Amino acid sequence: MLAFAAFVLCAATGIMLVPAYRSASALDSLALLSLKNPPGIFARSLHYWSAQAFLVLTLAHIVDHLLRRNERLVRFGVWLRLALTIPVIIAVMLSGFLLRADAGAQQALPVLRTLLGLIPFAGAAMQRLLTGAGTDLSTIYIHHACTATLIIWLVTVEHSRRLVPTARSLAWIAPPTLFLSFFLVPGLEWRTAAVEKGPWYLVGLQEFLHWLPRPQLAIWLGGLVLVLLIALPRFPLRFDAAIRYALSTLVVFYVALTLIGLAFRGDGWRWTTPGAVLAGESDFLSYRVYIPPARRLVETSVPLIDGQREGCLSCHGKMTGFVAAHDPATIGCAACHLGNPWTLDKKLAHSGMTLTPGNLSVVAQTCGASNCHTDQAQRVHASLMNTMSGVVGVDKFAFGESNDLNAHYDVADLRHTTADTHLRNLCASCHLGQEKTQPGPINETDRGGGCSACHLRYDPAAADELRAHPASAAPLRHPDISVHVPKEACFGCHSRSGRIATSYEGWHETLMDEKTAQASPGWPAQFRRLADGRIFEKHSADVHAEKGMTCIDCHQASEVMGDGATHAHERDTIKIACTDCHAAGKAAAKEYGQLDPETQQIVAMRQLNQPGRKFVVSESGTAAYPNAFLDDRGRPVLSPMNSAGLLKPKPMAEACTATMHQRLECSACHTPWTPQCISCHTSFDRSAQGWDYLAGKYVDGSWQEEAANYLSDAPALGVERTSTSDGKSAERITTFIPGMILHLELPGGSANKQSQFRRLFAPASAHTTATHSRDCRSCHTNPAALGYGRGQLKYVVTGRTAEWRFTPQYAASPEDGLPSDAWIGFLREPSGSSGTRKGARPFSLDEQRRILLVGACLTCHNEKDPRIARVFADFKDYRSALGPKCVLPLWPDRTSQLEGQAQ
Amino acid sequence: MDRIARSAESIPEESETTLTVPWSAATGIHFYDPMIVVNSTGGVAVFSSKCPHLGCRINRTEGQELVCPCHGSRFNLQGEVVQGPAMRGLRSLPFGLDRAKDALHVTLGSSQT
Repeated sequence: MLAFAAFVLCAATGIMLVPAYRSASALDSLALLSLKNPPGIFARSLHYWSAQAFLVLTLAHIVDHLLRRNERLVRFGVWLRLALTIPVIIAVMLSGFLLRADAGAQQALPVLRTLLGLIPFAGAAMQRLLTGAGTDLSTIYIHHACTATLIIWLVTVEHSRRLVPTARSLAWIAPPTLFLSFFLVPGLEWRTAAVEKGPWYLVGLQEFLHWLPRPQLAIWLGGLVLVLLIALPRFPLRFDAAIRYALSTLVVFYVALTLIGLAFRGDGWRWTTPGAVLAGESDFLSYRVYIPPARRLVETSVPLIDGQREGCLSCHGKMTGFVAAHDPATIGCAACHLGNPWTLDKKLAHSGMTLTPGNLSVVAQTCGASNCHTDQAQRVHASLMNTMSGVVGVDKFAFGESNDLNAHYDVADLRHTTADTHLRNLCASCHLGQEKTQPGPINETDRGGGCSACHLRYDPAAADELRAHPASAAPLRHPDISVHVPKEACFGCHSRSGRIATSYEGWHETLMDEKTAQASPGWPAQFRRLADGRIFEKHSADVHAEKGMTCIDCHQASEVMGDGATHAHERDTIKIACTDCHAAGKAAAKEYGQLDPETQQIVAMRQLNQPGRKFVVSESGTAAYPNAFLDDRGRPVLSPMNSAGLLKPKPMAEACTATMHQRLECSACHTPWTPQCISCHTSFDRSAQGWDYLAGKYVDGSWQEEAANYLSDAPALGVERTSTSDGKSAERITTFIPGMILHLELPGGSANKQSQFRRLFAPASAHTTATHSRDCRSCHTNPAALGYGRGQLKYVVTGRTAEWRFTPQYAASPEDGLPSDAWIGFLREPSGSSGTRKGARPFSLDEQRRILLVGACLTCHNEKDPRIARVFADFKDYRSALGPKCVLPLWPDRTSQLEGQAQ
Repeated sequence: MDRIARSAESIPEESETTLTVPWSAATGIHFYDPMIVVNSTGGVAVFSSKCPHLGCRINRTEGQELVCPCHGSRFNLQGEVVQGPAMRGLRSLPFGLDRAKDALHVTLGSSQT
């Protein structure tokens, strides 16, 4: 009788919904009901909960009958009708689910049609008869509202022998149903979830189908259960126990499958935990009393965006600042910010919303949603800007926790080793996976945010908006989201570590505090205070910066967002080279149609394609420039992101192609200065509270870093083995800086012999490129360039013998006897690991001697001297250029004057 | 990929079952309601988004796999089954590429065999 009461309540509320529901545009009618019809929302909630009550009570009634063995007490015809009503009840419930026409229902409908089609002999007819065709739900609606409802009512009347339920049963069923209807309002699924679960009573079937490659078995099994149920009173009594046991087993099995499907299935129907399921998206609009929105909102029109209502625009419709692809008039608001676009209740609409859609924790649902930037969102997870593999690897190496500098790491996998705590405390804010929780552009104190970190650009109007409005007000100007990545976004993170962003703009870090800087000559024009309080002083900027180029004018999408592969270090990801644009001869190029799809897309967005235009491709052949193309003479022309003008890169100088310097990277000569820290003390303060960036909370103990001196000189040179375009590897001479000349006080303290010393140089692209190169002497007679450190390097000639002598500027470190700023000892063969990369090393003793041999010539001869030019052209034959006064160096071991070593 | 390349040479006749989408918008793996465009440096392929198991719309990737949200079938980027319950691969759809008009024409509803 309670089930009958629930059924009547359900039928009554269904009739109330008839005026609002349109089967031809079912989803829109329900979205409008949710948005603008508060009484309708309650009627729908009551309809839903009374239906659930009817199903649960009916199932309980069936079980009760079977337990009491009542089936033999009724006429077989009655029993037959009752048994056949069970699939009708499931049909009326399922059709109610389908009539929502939301994302979940749209997935369920083809599944139902496929299963109906598998019914032997009558499949196609059943499909058409029960579900109609196409997306029109009118057939299902008629069966739901009329056919099935009428059948259930007739059978219930026959079974209960009453036309209507008793008033008492209605009094029992109404309060709990009304209570649930107030507190748990069923919602609509406005977009397809990562896991689509059907109505709860069919999740067991869904789980069963997951295991069934041949779903026909489910049809046969369902039919068998129904036949067994129908035939139950006709079986001889001796089979009764067996049949009941079989049916009970099937029920237990189905309940178990249901529980598994509901509680242990997550994204992509993978195993998960009940906690993760609960933390996921809910089918319900609200867990509180539904409060109708204000009348003025209800009377506001709700626009259709891409065929769906977008309630967000009722309040945020005046927002500007978008490129066409991200205009809310095109994609709405919820596509990026989530929340619920089908309610005008502010709290409900903002429930589940994300302020920063680019955060990698939600990016699969936002930027990386199925019809947007899926590819990029997948790749960026593996990118170095997210994993920080190089930072983690070198840190672990320095702390003695790893011997493999080429190992791949992910900052998200950090645990709580000593190095891990150091990284969590000082470094882990600089990766894309860092959650950005506050609005505003990236700066030195607020980083992360995934895609938003780079692609969100605050123009002056958006910045004003951000400053002017409190967080509770609806803003009117949205930051730009596009391929225009501002250099400020890069600056937020890359102003630390190698400081390439600050160096690029010509800023060098000092140890000054603001007060000292203000008292210094040149303040304020020659100084800059960053958001984190560090004071920088003016140096020469990179020539590319002076020309108005930003980071992404050179660094391509597949480099910065990753190419999908995992890489240990940043250098492994670099696909471009200076020579791509500064080629001595003709630059390599491809037509638009030959470019990779992503480059084509960027070319199209920047409207740079023209018939016949050829775009520059990298020397390595693995990247193409969407912003660089060939002019009529076949020379590269670059269109900077932030400028309407065109730049014409000059071809490299003749000296760059000379035989003797072919091993040199361009940066070896064109880097006038790099920031260098030659003494760092890192210690752990147990008494302090440190911030754990990964856990997002304070923890006991904090790491402290103290730098003794910041220098800015031309870099040291060394050798790095890198991959070549043909898949092999080659040694190249490149620039190095002190990666860490470091005293490390581990948590045990120096008293417990936990103090460590590290002297590791790192290959580094300083990004201070100058058009003029270092002169010959700045390398061949410069002790810092050779790795000896700063000081006086003198060529002392005594009669017909000569030798190099070095007087260091800095005192020797007690730990290794080398001057504080040195990489290697003067004219000593390097030993042990002294680079932060596998394959990176200082010059060998032979290489030092060859460099200093040329340096000896330069002590007397100008670099433009024809004799020097002859040596430069053919070093092997340097003896032929010697004059009678030339004195070659004797090396400290007195064994050789480089006889036979020239090569 | 040969099979795919051949299909790209001819543009299908316009008909009710032809869907045209902007070519430049389809990079990597791109999902449309009835189809999935896989556009990588290795070539282009277009598949029906209908899962061959029971017909759910495949709408997401995990790594290099296309995943059905209803019963968990997984397919590689060539449309082949990686993990059931589906027993057949995704249906390839014939397509034509008109780079001049930045258009990808896909014929829906007929199998490319």
